[in-house]
Amino acid sequence: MKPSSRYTINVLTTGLLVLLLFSIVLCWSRKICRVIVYTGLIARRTAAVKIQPSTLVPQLDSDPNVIRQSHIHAYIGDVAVFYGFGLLQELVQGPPEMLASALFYPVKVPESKIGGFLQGEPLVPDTDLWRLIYFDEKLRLFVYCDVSRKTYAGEKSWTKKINFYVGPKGFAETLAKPVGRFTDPVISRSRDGFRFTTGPLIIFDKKHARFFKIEFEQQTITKGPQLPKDYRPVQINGLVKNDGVLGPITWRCPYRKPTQQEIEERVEQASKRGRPGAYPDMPPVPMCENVGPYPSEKHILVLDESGQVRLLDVQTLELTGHAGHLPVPPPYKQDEQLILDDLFAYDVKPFTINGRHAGTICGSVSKEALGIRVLVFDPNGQLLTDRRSLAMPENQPGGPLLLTITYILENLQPPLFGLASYLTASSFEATAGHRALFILPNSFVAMSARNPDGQSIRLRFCFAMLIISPSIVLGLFLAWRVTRDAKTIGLSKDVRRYWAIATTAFGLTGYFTYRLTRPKLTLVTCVNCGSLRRPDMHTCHRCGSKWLVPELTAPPWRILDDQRRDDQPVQTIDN
Amino acid sequence: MLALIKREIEDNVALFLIAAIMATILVPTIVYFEADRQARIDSPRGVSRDMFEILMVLLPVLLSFFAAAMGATQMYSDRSKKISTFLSTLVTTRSRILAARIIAGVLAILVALLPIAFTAVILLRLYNVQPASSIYIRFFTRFFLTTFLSVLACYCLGLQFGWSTNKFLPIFGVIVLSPVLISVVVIKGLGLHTLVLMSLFIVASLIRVWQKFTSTSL
Repeated sequence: MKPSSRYTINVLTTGLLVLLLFSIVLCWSRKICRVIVYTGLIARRTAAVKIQPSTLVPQLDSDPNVIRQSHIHAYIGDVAVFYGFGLLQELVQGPPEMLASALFYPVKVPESKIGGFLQGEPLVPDTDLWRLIYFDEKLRLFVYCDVSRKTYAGEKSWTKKINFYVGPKGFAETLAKPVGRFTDPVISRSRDGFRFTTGPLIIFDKKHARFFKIEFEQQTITKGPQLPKDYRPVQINGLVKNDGVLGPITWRCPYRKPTQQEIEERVEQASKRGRPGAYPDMPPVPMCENVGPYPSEKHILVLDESGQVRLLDVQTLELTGHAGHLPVPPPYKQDEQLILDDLFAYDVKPFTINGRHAGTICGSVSKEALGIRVLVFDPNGQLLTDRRSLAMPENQPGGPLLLTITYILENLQPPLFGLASYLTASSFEATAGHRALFILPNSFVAMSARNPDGQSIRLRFCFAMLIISPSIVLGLFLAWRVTRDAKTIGLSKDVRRYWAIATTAFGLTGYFTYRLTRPKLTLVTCVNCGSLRRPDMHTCHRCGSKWLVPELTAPPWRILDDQRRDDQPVQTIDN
Repeated sequence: MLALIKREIEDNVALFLIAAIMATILVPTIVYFEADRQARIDSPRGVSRDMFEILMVLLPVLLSFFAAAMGATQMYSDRSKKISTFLSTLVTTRSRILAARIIAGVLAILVALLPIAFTAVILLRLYNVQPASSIYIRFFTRFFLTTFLSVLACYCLGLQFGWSTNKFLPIFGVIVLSPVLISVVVIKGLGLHTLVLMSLFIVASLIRVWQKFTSTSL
């Protein structure tokens, strides 16, 4: 291999290793700052929304006896930090294969005998029979089977008996009967993806463009009406992304003064218990009978890819109405188009009174997890309340210092990545952006690109350049140092130019790479110019003079052994 | 080549023993936890939380330090004892010596990792019905692949730091940079991103080590 190729490969591989390791160190430093900012300054404090009265139960809130009106509370929780770590998310939530596909639901039979849960598993079963429902990805069918445990010679093993397969056309005990195939179905799920019952399962099939309801016990399948081909639901029931980031959204019922009769009853009960005179001050009485953020009996909520929330009639499988929509959170403008991938978290809760749909609460968190917005809709999907909150960590004690450190750390990244962060600010999914190593979608420069405030492209670009100017200045300074040093050690003009460009683009990474791959030479003094020169080069790289080597002419005398001396004529040196 | 690999194994037999002991301790531990879960909780699906934590936290941390230490030890003992200098006088090349060394290193990692991976797969098949077993096996395949590449990356890091005459540089480098490298898994998770980053790191490291190893004067 040529020395020049060897040098190039060495530089490239060293550069890659330095880039990776240095980026990891910077990433952790930023993460530490971020965790402090979130847990100390943002979570539960600055980014919070409280709506009082909640506007969902005006008849209760306007009661003259009400002491405290109902309210809705949402805030950005500490959990937001967890979603910035891929491994922690998998540890907390379990295998994503299980969660994402919602493929597998074991149901204990009978369900009523489940005696509680331990680490997500039912405790001490009363029977060995389980009912198992899952979507077989290869067959593209739902499979309904019984699972029982058998003991042979002291060894226990699970036995699965498939009862039937379910396709769009119906039920079949064997695969011989054609029941059609589902294609990539969106399956309804509860907020806790693992809980499931043998009750109706509602799915949306993209190819058939309609909803299906499968009732396993009754062995019936109901088809909904055909929907437009471009209708794309994302979630059915349990509409949530990054659960827990939004608090969760809670609704608190109104409280009223106790009536005289209630006070008397309470005093009487206390007397019966042998404690007369106890409980003289009766606390307010909650007015929450059959009211709250519970699922409706007749409808479930469906979220589509445009962020619209619709009501689906469980009986007819028709989309009966508009229930609301996900809000565009601050700092973004309300009229901006909503993209689900741009939301770090969302949560949609149905509100019911006596089992009937009575409203919807929709909340979302911005890409950087700084802004929160909550919308409240009436049963007809009309907006009742709109509240927003944007965390301002810079206004909190210690906030400016933490933000300054974060800014400095961001500027230690290569300027090229700063520019790339600006150009690709909106290209990354929100949660993935929180795990970025190289291009930082949540950096100051990326935020400036996403939040234009009506500025022209040129102005925005200038502002972005101003934000990353420290890294550019640092890159230029390091490039100057590298060029100067490269000249000292005699690197060629072309190589010096490449190093200057690379160090300007990659900043500290380029500089570290240069220091690690710099040719290790001991320079000698040039006889001609007096500067240091490389001993392995033909000419001095400063003055171009050649080596002043004494002429190697053979001396006229020789020392010869005896035999050869006899053969050679003797030369006499005359003085 | 086989003779070279055999010699590498013989030279590092203590490290191979440590790898085997690690597997011997961890395999019965995860079997115990999984069997215990089955005895307490009667469910056709699921993984013991303890087994999950041992595999996801303890195994990568232990193995990455072990692999980094092994790489550093191999190269440092070569440099200090002039093993490759001696071997170069025989009918072999430095590239072959390095290849044999890396193969021995990978074998040591596999000695620790494979028994645990096989045990996990057998347990999942035994205590889970389909399709849960397939889903979990898919997840654990992803996990073991990520762990293997991360551990191999730490091994390559050890190889780089080990080629030094300074006694403290390999120790310092391995202790400081191995956790930094393995922390990519914490940030990125067990997905494709981690696999790509680790693969790039391994390729770059091996090229660099090969260049250094073959160009250093005897």
